Amino acid sequence: MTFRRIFCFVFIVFFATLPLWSDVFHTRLFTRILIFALLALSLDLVVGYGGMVSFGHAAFFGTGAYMTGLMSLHGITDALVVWPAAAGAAMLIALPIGALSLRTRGAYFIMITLAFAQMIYYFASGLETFGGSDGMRLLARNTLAGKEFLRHHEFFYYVAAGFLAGAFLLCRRLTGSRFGLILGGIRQNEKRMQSLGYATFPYKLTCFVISAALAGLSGALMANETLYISPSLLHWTQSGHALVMVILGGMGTLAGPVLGAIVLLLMEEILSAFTQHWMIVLGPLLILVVLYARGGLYGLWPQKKVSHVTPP
Amino acid sequence: MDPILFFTQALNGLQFGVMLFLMATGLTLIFGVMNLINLAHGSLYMMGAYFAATLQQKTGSFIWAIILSIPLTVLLGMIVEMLALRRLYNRDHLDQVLATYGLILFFNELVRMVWGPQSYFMALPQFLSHHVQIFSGLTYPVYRLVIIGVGLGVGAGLYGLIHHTRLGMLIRAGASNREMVNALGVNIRFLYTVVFGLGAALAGLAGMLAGPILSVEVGMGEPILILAFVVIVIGGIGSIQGAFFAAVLVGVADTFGRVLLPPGMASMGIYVLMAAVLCWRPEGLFPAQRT
Amino acid sequence: MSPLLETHQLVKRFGAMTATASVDLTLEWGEIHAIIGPNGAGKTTLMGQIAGELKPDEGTIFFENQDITSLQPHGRSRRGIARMFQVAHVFPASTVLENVMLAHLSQRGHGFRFWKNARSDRESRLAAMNFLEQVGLENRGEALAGTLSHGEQRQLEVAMVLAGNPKVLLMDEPTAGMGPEETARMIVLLSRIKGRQGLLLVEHDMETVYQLADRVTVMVYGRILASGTVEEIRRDESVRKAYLGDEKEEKEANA
Repeated sequence: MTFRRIFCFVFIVFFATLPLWSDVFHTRLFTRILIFALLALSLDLVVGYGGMVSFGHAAFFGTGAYMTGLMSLHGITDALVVWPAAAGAAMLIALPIGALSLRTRGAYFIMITLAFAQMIYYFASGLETFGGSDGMRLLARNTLAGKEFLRHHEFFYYVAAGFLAGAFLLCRRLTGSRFGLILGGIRQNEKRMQSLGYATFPYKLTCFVISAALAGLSGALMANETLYISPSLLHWTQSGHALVMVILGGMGTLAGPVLGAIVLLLMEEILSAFTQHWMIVLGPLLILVVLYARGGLYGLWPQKKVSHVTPP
Repeated sequence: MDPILFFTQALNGLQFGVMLFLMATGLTLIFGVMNLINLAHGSLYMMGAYFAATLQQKTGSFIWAIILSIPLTVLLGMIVEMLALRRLYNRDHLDQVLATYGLILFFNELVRMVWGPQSYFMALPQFLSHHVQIFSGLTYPVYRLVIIGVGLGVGAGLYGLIHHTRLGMLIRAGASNREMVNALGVNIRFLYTVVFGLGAALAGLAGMLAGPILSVEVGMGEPILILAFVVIVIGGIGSIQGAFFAAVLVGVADTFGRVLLPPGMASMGIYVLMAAVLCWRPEGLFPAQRT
Repeated sequence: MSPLLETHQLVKRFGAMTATASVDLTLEWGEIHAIIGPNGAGKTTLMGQIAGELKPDEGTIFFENQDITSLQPHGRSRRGIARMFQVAHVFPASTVLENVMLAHLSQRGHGFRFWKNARSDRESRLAAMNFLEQVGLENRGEALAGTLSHGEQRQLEVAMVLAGNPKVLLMDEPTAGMGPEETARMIVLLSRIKGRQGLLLVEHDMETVYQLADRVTVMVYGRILASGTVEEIRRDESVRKAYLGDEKEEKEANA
């Protein structure tokens, strides 16, 4: 317990003060890490808590980014409008995709979410106004209430951190609420929930759409960070990447995906300094994690057993 | 649409369809019999193409390249099965997806290290590189006709294997009811190895055949893998018959979609088709598994 | 007065086999109605049709005078038909208390409450605790359901079923796989909740049936062979021949 406390404390202090002592390169690196952590967290809501293995989360991530681009093409650049719109667009896309995909389960669901994400990918690749498969550069970050605060990388870092913290607390409430309790029941035994009197479909769809909103938001943040949108944001490897973060960190926990995103991206950063072929290490490592460390990093956390139901 | 264009596109669609069939049939059998979602199936497709491209350079013969590459791909598939996939049969689908995703990352990087990042093109031998006249006004590349022929031949061969041999009987039984095969006391390990080898051979073959049409490059297996998933969803998991009809359907729909639909929508047609099938029949058109 | 639950000419076929052939059955408020019969007599199939998991090929099911044949399982559950399974179907990774809370909440409005912590909600905790006390699991509330013994899981099932405040209880062999002590406890438990709802019970163990049932229906090959009080069934010649006789011989052979 004390170790846990100390770790949490160091962790929070590190992330809260990072821009104050770090250079711009690392501030921006950690901004990206925080944004991916938000994406991973949103995916964990569906996979870890809802028991629905979505292999198409890039669709919502990318939709958020493209919405940001679309609005900037039309001269709408204020974050207070753009970011909710990005989340909303992702929800709007998730609704039909979820409604169709949730007619099936298990392996079918994996393949279908993957296929629908690929559809969005091809759609974006064909959008000439957004530069087709080459993508498009954004002129500037969104304004915040008319002011250009976000231009400063340090400020933007704190915005991303704030969103991640907010999403974390939101998910914590959500998974502890009546809705979360029911979702946990559905994940464990959907038939039994039906025999208890629950119509399970609306709960699963709601979870899917909420998750898409968070993913869309992370996409909007990513578009702001890199000032560049391209179909690669929608590529299926983005979905795979996000899933790896969730599993590496520990699915069905809230700290897990955040931890997973940090570790994976830092590992990539470090490995790529040694060799450009770092994926030759990552691939087998991933297989080993799947085969031998099911609980992920969070499962290695001392004195705390991984429970799918009780959030940390 | 004028009839010449129509027939050309229909043949193109059929050719694309049989390629998809070669991919999808292995995937659907492996899923049906071993309950394994194998993303690395796309890597076998890619490796098959690279083996063939290299062997063609070494031997100078396209035919020899194909003949030698198939056992190489099967061997590779079996090694992968023994080292990694075998441990995944009893895991849930999420584990399988992640581990085989790891395999994709590995193979893509391996290819980049060994063959470099550039694309390869496989040249066709003289006797396959010309066009033939099918009827007045319609000429068509011989090689594409050969692909169609090979695909249909494989389809017929599989049909014979599945419906008229004891091995086929076991595969069918495995795809519709795994427990039953276990109960029959069949050497399940052997059956798995055979099915996996068969799937690897077909994926590799598809990659080799694609070599002279598409470029041989890193990641070439993934788009066709995802399309093969669409085929399986439409056809019904575990059904070869379903895979065949759905593959041809998707191939033709995709080809005509590119001709008829506006550019942005062209590649979306098949996904709309998939959505329609899902609304109508969530289990696919020819579901093999009855539970 | 019309019965609480009534099946009318229920037919279910699996391929060439007829699992239930024109079954007419009634269940009154407050009674325990046991269905007995050899394996493959169609008892579980009948229960499945009443619960809504299986769709009958012919016939109708009435509940409180309304035709519920086309209702989905969750719809029937909401009206007050609760099902207890042959194999314990608890939520293994949730705590015992959460299991009962889930069952309790299902009857109380929708579940789209995203903010308030459900686990610390006093009212539903108390309600859930109350049901746990009724089945004697009040000390195991915080244990994960998956760690309970088989007998305890079945007790938990009873608590979950009761928490839904059902009008009809469908129980499929509640004492299957239990030791004598656990069986005795279950019988006490069932006789204690008797009278608060209609209970349709599929059971193999004749002792349990004789101790609990008000009415017994004997099924053989998908048909109803006889129906009546325990005494009537005991005396019935055809039942003896078709079913009880066999068992007696079996018992004697075993002894």
